Amino acid sequence: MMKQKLKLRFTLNGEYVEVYVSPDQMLLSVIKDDLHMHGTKRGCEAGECGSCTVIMDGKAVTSCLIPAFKAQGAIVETIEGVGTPDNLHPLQKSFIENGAVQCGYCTPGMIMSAKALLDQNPNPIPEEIRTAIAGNICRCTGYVKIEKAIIEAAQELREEEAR
Amino acid sequence: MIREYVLSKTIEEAVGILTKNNGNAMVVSGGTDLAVDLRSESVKTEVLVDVTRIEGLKGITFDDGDVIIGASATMSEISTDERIKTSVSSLAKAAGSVGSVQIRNVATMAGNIVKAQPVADSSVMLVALGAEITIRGTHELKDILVQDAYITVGKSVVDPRKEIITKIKFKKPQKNQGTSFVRLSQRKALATPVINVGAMVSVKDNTIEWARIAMAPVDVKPVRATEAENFLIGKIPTENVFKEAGSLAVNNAKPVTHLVWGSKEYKLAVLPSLVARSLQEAIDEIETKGGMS
Repeated sequence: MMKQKLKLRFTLNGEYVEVYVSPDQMLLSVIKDDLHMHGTKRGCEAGECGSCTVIMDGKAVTSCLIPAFKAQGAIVETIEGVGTPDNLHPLQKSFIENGAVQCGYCTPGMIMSAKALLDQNPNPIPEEIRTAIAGNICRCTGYVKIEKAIIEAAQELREEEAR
Repeated sequence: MIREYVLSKTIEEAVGILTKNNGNAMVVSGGTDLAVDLRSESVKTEVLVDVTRIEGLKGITFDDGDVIIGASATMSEISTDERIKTSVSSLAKAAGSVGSVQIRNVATMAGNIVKAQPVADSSVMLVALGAEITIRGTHELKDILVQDAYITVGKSVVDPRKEIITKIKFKKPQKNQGTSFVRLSQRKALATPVINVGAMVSVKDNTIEWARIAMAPVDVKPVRATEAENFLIGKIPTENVFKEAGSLAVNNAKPVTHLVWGSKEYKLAVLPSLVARSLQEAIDEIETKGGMS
């Protein structure tokens, strides 16, 4: 039996995209294999490492577990939509300044989880930060620097907001 | 091989597609378990029927003493709902214990029930709450207790190739009733519990009128600590009574050794303390609500 590809329409990093995908494809595969955006990382593919985290309709999700058609009409944000090389997002700047990036494989997912938190809660307590990134595994940093980076980025974002 | 992914708009449409495909179509809600099962090919289907866009399955309602959780309400929605946090904080805690934020943002309690892993945090709490599910297939609507939804590990009475859960319903705990959820696990997130316990206690004239205690994983399904429950009836709630109930809970437990999630001996050793703690927390909640006279 032929696997029929069907049209999936959604908004990716502010741009409307149309792409033909298989009914068994996961969102991660559409982003990487079809749209060739490689910032989102493929890790465990079982929802346990968080490296494929993207924001869908305002919520952090592991894109390896999201059947692509769940994104029909959705607004999806990946690391490519966060800052630019010349104008980094406060989270990206803060991760670099705090040494919260080592090998870097978990970083895009970590930033997306942190951003989903700060978008909803601009002034999180450390416990809330830990909960937000509990689904993102980092084998390098030990998390202390990541937590500090998120606290400082939150502060920076609040100051930007006040200006 | 999956040949079709349908975003159903109504319950009737979803049931119709399942019926038409005669076993070759399957319901998907959050899909966090199913995605993994499909990849490993431990589950096979030709058509996936996504039910998360059906309006009638969404949201949480409080209606005339009942709490109704739509089948596609996510763990995140449930764990952060202010009304749930106020009146059934135990369920908010159980839902908030599942997986990680990313998982909770899509996973559902209905999915947990269909999947029938005995240790599923939300299901254990639902058993303690005496919750019921409504199942819709080609048959009439059917209401059954969550407790009776389990057949064995990984197998529930709900066949996702034939029927869907539409809602989960339980009585909102009254002022003289307290609930609690306690959990022992190796880390706070993405960790299968070593033991989890859900409890609900009702008091009258400062004595225990009845108690429901659900525990897992101590058998192939969440288990009621019936000996402890019977013992508690008519007792004045004290630390010693809770300890005694904890010891009795062991009589309904048949845990097995798991290399990662604890040995049989360890589980039996910690179970009494966790049961006692859950009862204490349920009573504390009644006191906080001013339900002890």
